[in-house]
Amino acid sequence: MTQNAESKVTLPRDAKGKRSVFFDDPAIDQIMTFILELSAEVSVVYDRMDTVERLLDEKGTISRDDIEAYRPNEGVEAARNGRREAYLKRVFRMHQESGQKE
Amino acid sequence: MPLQHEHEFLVTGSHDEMNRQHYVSRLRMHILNQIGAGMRGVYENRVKPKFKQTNGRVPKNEHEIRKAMLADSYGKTWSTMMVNCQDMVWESVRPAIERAQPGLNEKVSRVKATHGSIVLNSDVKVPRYLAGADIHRMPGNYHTERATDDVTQGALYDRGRFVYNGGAAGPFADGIPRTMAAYIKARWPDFKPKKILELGCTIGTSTVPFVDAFPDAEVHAIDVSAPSLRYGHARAEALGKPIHFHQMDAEALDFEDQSFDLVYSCIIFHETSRKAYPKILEECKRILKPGGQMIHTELTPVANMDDFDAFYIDWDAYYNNEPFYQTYTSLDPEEWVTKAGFEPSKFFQASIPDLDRSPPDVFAGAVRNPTVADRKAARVGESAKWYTYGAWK
Repeated sequence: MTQNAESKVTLPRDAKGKRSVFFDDPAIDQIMTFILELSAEVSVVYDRMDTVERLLDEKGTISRDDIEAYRPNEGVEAARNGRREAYLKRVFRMHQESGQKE
Repeated sequence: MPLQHEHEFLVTGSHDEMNRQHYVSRLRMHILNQIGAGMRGVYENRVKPKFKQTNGRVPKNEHEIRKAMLADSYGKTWSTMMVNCQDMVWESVRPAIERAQPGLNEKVSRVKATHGSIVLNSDVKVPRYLAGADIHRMPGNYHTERATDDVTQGALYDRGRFVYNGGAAGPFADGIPRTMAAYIKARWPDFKPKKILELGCTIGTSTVPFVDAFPDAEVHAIDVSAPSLRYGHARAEALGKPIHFHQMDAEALDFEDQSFDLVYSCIIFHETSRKAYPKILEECKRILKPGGQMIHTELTPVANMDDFDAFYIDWDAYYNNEPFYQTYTSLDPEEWVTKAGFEPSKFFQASIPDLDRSPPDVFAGAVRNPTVADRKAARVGESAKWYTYGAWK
């Protein structure tokens, strides 16, 4: 149990218990993992661009450290959440007919 | 979404990691609210008629609804998104906590008990209901220890839960217990508990509001999970809140008979078991002083929901690793509180509007005129009302 203080800590990535599969072909559930994770990466890149733009507006020139150290205030976070929600609505839209009578 | 209060032991992450976490919060809300909004229509317009055609009747309960919904492409897509997003919550927090270790454990182990205290007891066994599956799919659950003085699971839970609920419970993730404490004070202004106990406190986010609400009281909190308690103690000290943490099992408390004025819990029963639930209620009765109060906020009983709302409970039980969720919500709290020895006339229940998400007059109205949850109170947080019950001894 006791860990060497020098060793790198790695945590499990999967929960104990059954992994649920919903589609007849489990590959579809797997692909959904890829798509959702990819959607997060696009959002993260967008936020990084937003940080760069905000810092440039403010200071004219910036370093990588400036970007890493940047933390949005509540107002910036609210603007980003608005952007994230619009993005989610564009990307993850269910087929219209799904909710309607066949 | 408010930003999380950053006490000195909170692990958030780098610039990009924090933005990933905040995105996952929004993604989860999108799946729940936007995509989830189509679920009832799919059921009414497509799944139910098809079921009726095949079986000559409508689905008779939430289990049949779940099976039928999961045969539909909309239900499958919503479900796989929900499960994936749940895993993304923890995954978005994991790398920063790995980097913070083992330094975080060392930092916590140096915390002095200035305001409160912590007493661990390695003889306390992790109950089977926690050891069997990782609740909420959080890898390692509340209790896993990987090193001496380990606090990893506490740190993972603190940040991960905030990502999970998108900050809906406020910067301190304490919306429900703050609502409970305010309700107790408003409804029973003459009740002045001197000694308070919380059951299943994990990292103490639900304990702190009771310290704030009852500053003259001595506040104790128990849990079986040492990593959560260590982290919770460090967090409470960082916030300057006097809380006495104990590693104990709520089924068999080490406290003496009649030693507390108020005993409470905050959405814990559905994570216990059919066998544990009555024992915990009996322990509440035992440790309460005469005239003391027991109060629990939990999920609304299924009897107060329509079948489609109950379907979500059924879904969570199966796919979000909440094995007792379904059975718990089928029980009648009044029956079990009475069986634990409380007098039927001393039982109370009410649905309390969330303090942050309801206008003050709505909260005040609920205090004056306590009513039980309506049918739309099914999904946790959806209606911004908290089903609460208890009894006086």
